[in-house]
Amino acid sequence: MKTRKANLRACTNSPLPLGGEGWVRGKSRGGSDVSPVPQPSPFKGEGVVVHTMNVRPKRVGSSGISGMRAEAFQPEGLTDHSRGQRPRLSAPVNPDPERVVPWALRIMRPFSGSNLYKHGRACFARRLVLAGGTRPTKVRPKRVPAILLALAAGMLPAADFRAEGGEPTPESRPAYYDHWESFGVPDGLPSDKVFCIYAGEKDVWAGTDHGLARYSNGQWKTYSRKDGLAHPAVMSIAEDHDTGDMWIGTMGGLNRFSAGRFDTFTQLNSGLANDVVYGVAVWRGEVWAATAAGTSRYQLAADRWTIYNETNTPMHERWCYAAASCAGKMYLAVWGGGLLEYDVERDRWRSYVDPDHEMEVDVFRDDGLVHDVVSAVACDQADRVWVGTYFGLSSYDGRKWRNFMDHDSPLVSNFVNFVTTRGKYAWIGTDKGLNATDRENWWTYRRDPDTGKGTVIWQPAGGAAEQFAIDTIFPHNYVLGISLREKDIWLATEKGVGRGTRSQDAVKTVSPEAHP
Amino acid sequence: MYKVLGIPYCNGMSGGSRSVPAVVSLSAYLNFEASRGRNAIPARREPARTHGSSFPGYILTSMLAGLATSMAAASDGVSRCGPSALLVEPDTGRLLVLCEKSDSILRFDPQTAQIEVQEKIGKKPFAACAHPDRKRLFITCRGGQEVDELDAVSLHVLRRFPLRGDPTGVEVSGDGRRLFVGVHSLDQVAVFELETGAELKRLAVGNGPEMLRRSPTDGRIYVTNLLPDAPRMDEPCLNEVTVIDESTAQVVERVILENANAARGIAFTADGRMAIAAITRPKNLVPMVQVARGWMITNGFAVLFPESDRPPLQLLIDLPNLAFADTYSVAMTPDDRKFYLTCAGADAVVAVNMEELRQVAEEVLAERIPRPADNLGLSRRYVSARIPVGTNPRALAVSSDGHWLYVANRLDDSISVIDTNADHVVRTMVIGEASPPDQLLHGERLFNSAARTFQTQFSCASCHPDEGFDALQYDMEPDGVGTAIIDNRNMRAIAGTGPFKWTGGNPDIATQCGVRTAKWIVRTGWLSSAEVVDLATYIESIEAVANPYRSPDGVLTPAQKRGRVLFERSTTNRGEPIPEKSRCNYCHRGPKFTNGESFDVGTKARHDTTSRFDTAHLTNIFESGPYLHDGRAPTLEEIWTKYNLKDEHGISNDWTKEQLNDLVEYLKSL
Repeated sequence: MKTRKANLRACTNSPLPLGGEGWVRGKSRGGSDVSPVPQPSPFKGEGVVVHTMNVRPKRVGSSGISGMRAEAFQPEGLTDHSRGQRPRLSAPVNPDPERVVPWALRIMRPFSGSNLYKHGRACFARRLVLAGGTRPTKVRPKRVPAILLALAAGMLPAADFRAEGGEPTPESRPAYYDHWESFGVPDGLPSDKVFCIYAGEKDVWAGTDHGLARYSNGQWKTYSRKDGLAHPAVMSIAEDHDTGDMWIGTMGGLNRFSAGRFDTFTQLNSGLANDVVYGVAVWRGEVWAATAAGTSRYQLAADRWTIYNETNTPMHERWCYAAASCAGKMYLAVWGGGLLEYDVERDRWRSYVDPDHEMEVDVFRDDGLVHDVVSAVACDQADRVWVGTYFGLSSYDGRKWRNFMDHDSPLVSNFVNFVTTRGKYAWIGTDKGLNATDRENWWTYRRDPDTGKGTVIWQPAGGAAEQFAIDTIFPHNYVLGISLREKDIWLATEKGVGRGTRSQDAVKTVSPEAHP
Repeated sequence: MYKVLGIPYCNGMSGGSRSVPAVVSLSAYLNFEASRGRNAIPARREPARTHGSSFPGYILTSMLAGLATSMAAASDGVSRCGPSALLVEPDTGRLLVLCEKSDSILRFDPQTAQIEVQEKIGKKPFAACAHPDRKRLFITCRGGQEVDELDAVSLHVLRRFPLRGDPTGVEVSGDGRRLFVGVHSLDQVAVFELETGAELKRLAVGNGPEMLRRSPTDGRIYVTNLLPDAPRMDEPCLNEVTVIDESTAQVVERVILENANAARGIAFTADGRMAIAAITRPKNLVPMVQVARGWMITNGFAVLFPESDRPPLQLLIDLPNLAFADTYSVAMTPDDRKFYLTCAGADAVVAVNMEELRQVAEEVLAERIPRPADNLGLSRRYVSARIPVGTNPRALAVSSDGHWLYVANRLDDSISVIDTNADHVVRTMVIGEASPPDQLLHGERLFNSAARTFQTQFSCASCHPDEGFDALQYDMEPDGVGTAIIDNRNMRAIAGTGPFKWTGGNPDIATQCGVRTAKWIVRTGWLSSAEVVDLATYIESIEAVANPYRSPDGVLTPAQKRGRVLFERSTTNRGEPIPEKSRCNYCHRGPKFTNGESFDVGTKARHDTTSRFDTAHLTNIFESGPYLHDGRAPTLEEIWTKYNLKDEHGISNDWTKEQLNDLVEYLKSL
C-alpha cells in the first residue's frame, strides 16, 4: 500500500522530461501537477523553423483491454522548411509492459467516481507520457466495434493521411487570405471589442460591447439602445434566411431587427428564458436562443416559446453558449455541460460529454467530446458537427469523434472561442489565432503582435507545410467570431474587425471544394 | 355639392366657388343629412311600456322582444348580404360582391341590378383579389379561418388554404406564383406557394394587418395595419405600413405614420409613385373634455411616396366642425385624376382631386404649410366632393373605364353607383330582397354610425374597429382631467362579463352605452332608450374571433395543461397554502373567467382615483393587449414580472420562468 501510495504521489509530482521534439498530450491549463510542462508548440510562430506534425500519427498494432497494450507513437512527417529536408522517421519505441492498463484500475472502474480511481487514471496517463512521448491509444472496452475500428485504423498505411497525388504542389494548394483590412472605432465601429460578426448577402453585422454595427456601402452604421437595441453588449447574430430578419443576442435580451424595426424579447416581456443570450440560431422558422439559463426555442408562426434546461433535457448545466442545426437536429453547446443533441422530429435528446470526466487530462484519444466546457458548435457540408471547447476541438460525424489539440495538431490553441464552417472546412477562432481544417488539411493564420504582420501556414495531410508571410493581417489574435461570405472572411476580434480577401493571382487553385 | 346656409360649398367639377363658410354649424349637418334622403338612420320610436315601470325591466323586455324579432326574421329566410368587398370584372363590367353575413359571393350585374350567380364560400368573407391570369380569385374568410381559391367564372371553390389567426387582406404576386395573406391576430403575413399550396413562411408585419395591395410598378406589396406598433401608455401611437418585396417575399421597409391609427384600404396611382392609405388620427393623449373641431379624433389619409425618400404625408378630409368618420377603402380612377375614400361612419364617400393634392404636397414639402396633418381647413383644397351614400359604406371599386364608382353599403345591402364625372349617386341598387332592419341590424347600424356624435366626429367603431379595440389608452373626463387613464376594451364576446367600466361602475352595457356615453363621449342627445337597447343587444351578440392558440378540438397542449394547473393551484411551490382570495381562479372564475367583482391588485397608479378595479374577463385575452386597467403591461408576462412585485395580483413570485411561460400559454388559449 505504501509503495502504491508513494508511486501515486510520485507520478503526480514528478515533472516531465524536456527537450527534443517529443510531444506530450495533456490539457494545457497551466499550473496543474498533472499537466505536462508545455512544450514549445510548433505553431507558436516562433523562430524561422517551422515544424509540423501529422494530425494522426501512425499506429503500430492495436490496443484494447484484455491483454492489449498501449502503443507507442512517434510523430512523423516533420518538415523543416528552413532546411529544405525532412527528418527520418523515428523507430517506434518498444512498448513497456507496464503500460498495460493496470488490472488495479480495471477492477476499480465501478468506483470511477472515487478520488483514488481518478488519481489512478491520471497516474496511468502520466506514466505513459513519462515513458517518452508515448500516448495511450483508444481503449473502448465496452465498445468492441470501436476496437475493431482501431485495429483497422492501425493497419492502414500512412498514405491514408496524405493528400491525393502525393506531395502538395503550389498548383494544388488552395488560395489563402493574403490581404487583410482592419476596422476599429476610427472607422465607425462603436467599440474595438467585437464579440461576434455575421456577413450577410448585402451587409456585414458586428456585435461589440458597446452596440451593434452594420457595414453597408463602405460605411459603418451603429445601433444602440436608443434605436431599440436590447443591450449594448451584443453576443451573437444570426439571419433568418427566409424572412431576411436578423436576430441579435445581447446581454440584455434578444432582438429581431426587421427592415429597420427592432423588436425586443426579454425574460420579463416574453417567454425568453434569460436575458443573457450568448448564442442564437434560426432554423426552419424557429429561433433558438442559447442563454445563461437554458435554451429558448421560439416558434415564429405559432408565437410559442419553449424553454429547455435540466428539467426537460439531459443537460445538467443551464449555461448554454451556442446553438446550431445539423442534419435535422439541433445542437446546443453547454458551457461545462458538454454538447446536447435534439432530434426535433422525434423529440429526443442526447447528451455528449467528455467520457474521461477529467478536467485536466484527456486520457483516451478520440473517445468522445474532448471537454465539457463547450463554447461553440457548427455543422459542415458533410453534416459533421464541430465543437469548440476551451480545451481543444472536436469533430463528430454521427458515429466517430476526432479531437484536436494544440499539442498534436496544427490547432493554434486549445482555447476555442468560435467555430463556423464552409464546405467541409471548419474555421476555428481561438485566443491565439485562426485555423481552418477539414480534419486532414490545416490552415493557420496568426498575427505578429510586434510587427503587425501576418503568417499563414498551410499544412496538407501527410505533406510538407508551407509558410507565407503577409503584410496585412487581422487586428488581433484573439478571435471571437468568424463569418465567410463568398470570397471574403470577416473576423470579430479583441481589437476590431478584420476582413480578409484572396488575391488568387499567383496560385492556380484546385476545385472550389478545396477552398476552405 | 351641399349647401351651408345657402352658400355653395365644394370645389365640384364645375369649378365652383372656393368660398369658405363663415360658420359651419348644426345646420350644415342637417343639410348634409337631408341630402342623404333615405339613407339617414330613422329615429326609433319608443315602444309602449307594457311591463312594469322599472328601467332595467323595460330594457330586458325590449331586448328579449328584439331578439325574438331577430329570430323570427331569420326563420323567415331573410338572409342579409352585408357586402364587405367588391371587385369589378374587367371584361364584363360585372361586380363580384363578398357577402360577409351570408357567407357567399355574388356576381351582380349593375346594369340590370340582378344577381346572376351566388355561391357559398367560407364564413365571413372579408377581402378578395384576382390572380393575374384572371382565372382565379382568392377570398379570405375570417370566420372560416381559411383562404378560398375560386374559379373566376363559376365562382366554385377550387381549393382552401387553412389559415388560423384571422385572415384579412390578400394579394397575389405579380408573377402569379405566391399568395400573401394578412394574419391579423398574429401580426403576420403568411406566404403561400400557389402551385403546391404549401405555406412557405410567415413575415412579421405591423400590429393587426388589415389590407394588402400590390404596387403596379415596384414589385412590392404594401400592408396596412389596423393597430399601433408596440402601443405604450403616454406615448403617441405609431402606425406602420409594411412593405414586402414580392420576389424575395421579405419585408424591406416599414413606413411609420406618427399619431395615426386604423390604417385600412390602400390604393396606388398608375405610375406607382403615390400610394393613398385610409387612416384616422386619434388624440388619445389629450383628456377627452370635448369633441369639437377634431378634439378626440380626426379622419383622413396618408400619402406614401414609394421609390422616393420623401416622408409620408398625412392629410385630413374633415372640416373644422364636421367630420367624416371611419375612413375605410380607397379607389383610384384609372387616369389618376382623383381617388375616392369611403367614410364608413359618415355614410359618405369623399372625392379627392389628385392635382390639387399634389400641389398641397409640394407646399408641405417646401414647408409652406405648417402641421398639415392637424389642419382642418386644408381639405377644402383637395376634397372635391362629399357624396352621401348608403349605410356603412366600406368597399368600393371603379369601373375599368373609370366612369363609374361602385360603393358597397354594408349595412343596408345596397350598392351606390356614382358618376365619377359628376360625383353624385346616379343609382342605388339593393342586393337581394329588401327587408326592414331587425333589432340586431339596427344596433349594428348605431354602432357604426357617427351621425349621433357631435359634429359626426366618430362612431363606436372608431375606437372599436371591427367590434374590437384600438389598443390605445384614454383620459376620460368623468373622473377628472389627468386622472384615471384607462385602457380601451375589446368589445367582442363581452356578454356576461359585466359589470363594465374599469371601476365596475356600470352594471350592464345599456348603462355603459346610454346616458353615460351621451354625456361624456358623444356629447349629444345620442340615442333613445329603445335605441340604446338595440345597441346593447347588438353589442352582446358580437362574437369572438377564432383563437389561434387554442387547438380546434379544444385539447390543451402540455404547456397549457401545466398552465391550467398553476392557474388553479392552492399551494405555492414550497407547499404553503395560498389564501383563497389570492388564487387566480377566485377572481377569474366562471365561463368568462371573471367573478364580476372589483379588487385591489396593487395596480393603483398615481393618476388613479381608486385602487379597486373590475376583474377583467380572460376570454380572448390573447388579442386584447396591452393589459391592466391603464394598459401599462404590453404583454401578459409583464403583468407579473413587472407589476406584481408584492404578490398582490395573485401569488406569483415563487414561480419559475417555465411556470410563467406555461401560465401564459394557458391564458392565451382561453
